[in-house]
Amino acid sequence: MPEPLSGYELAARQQETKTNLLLSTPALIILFLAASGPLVVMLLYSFLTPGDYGGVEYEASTEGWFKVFFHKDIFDGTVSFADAHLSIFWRSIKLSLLTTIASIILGFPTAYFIATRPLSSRNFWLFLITIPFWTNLLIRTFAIMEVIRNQGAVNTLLMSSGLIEHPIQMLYTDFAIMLGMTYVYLPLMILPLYASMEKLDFRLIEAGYDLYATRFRVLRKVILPLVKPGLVAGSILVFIPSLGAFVTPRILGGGKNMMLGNLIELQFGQGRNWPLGAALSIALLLIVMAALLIYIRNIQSTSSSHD
Amino acid sequence: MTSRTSKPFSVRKLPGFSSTALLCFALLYAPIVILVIYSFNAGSSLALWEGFSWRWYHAAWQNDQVQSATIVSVLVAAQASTYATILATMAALGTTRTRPYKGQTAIYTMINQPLMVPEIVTAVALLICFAVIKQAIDYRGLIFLVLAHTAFCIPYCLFAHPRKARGHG
Repeated sequence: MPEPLSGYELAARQQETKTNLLLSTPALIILFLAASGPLVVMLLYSFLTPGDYGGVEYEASTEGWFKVFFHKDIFDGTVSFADAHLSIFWRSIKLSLLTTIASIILGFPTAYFIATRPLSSRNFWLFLITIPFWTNLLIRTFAIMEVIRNQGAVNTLLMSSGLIEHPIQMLYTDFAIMLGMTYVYLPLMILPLYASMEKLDFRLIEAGYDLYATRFRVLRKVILPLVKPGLVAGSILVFIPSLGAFVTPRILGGGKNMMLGNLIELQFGQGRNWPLGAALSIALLLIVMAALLIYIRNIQSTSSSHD
Repeated sequence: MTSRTSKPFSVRKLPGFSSTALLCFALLYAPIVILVIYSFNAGSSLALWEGFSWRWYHAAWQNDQVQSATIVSVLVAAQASTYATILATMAALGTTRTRPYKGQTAIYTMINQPLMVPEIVTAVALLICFAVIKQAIDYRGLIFLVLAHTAFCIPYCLFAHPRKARGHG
């Protein structure tokens, strides 16, 4: 039982809370002006009528949201599902999931490798991971593009070694987008994974081997459950930006293989349909929120099972 | 006694993990290294080496667009990082090493928000708002860019802040 506070202490605590709130206020104002507020405005825009040259007419309409899912034939007015939009939604989710899986396959051993280095050299390996992370996204995407071009390093190497006669078309495919996204978001998988592997208690792993567990069994039954929070955090950190990526698919996917980010961008440019663009953005946000909900649930279930 | 030739067993080792990790490091750096090396190429190809030259650095240095874009980038980055560091430090003082209080979680959620929302969504939301404001006040300075970047940098500053990062919060 906490002891009841005297009037003086209560006043001091209230004062402290007030100071804390005041200190956070300037940051919150900026974030409201340039982050949360605009999202609300965008939600309103998704229910307006598109203007002829971009922008909007201030007249309520659900046309934007209708067009996200349905397509109305301009000649006979028949309504069908907007296949083009839905297939882009599907491609975005599929490529983001594949990117997440590829990041796990590459990132898990790498994080484990760093976590099992001697304490003195761990920071060096971590530093090697963070340098590409701070390198501009555009530069890294162009770097990948140069490597996988038809006249790029990979194809030149393969052709000069005589393995292939004609260059393999890698650029402007879904594979290129996935490769590029894995490349640019990989550090986001490795860093949280490392954070939870660093805390691994190797006595538990040793105990596993003492009980005649195979290496695979130790990995599955001891290591994986212990590093699950990092694995889930890393997956979320890779999945969310992949879903909204627009630079990488535009450069590596060419014009044809669009992802959600490109579709949204298109509505604010040539498409000149801001309400549709706003509605698509909100739809993307909803998918992200669903992913975050799964993440929060996971965190809660792991923390309660260890308590 | 028979001498064993196999490697000693280690509880820390998992088969294939070290080689995958080293491959991963190589893959992370190869494209960037290629890009850097070929920026000194005398020719205009990124696959065919035609000798060392400063040609492209001269070209970039003398390009007006490169110059003006660099100035804009540096100006926006310097301002946004200064403001974001100040604001995030204040917020760190207000949210860490303090007794839990009502609204603390709400503050965190609000500050975290730019990290949770995909960039393209934030970008078009800002486009919509700034388009309206720009039409109304007819001002075309860098302040909109600075404001947007400041907001985006605050969560990064807060979570890398020594006061928060050392885990006393």
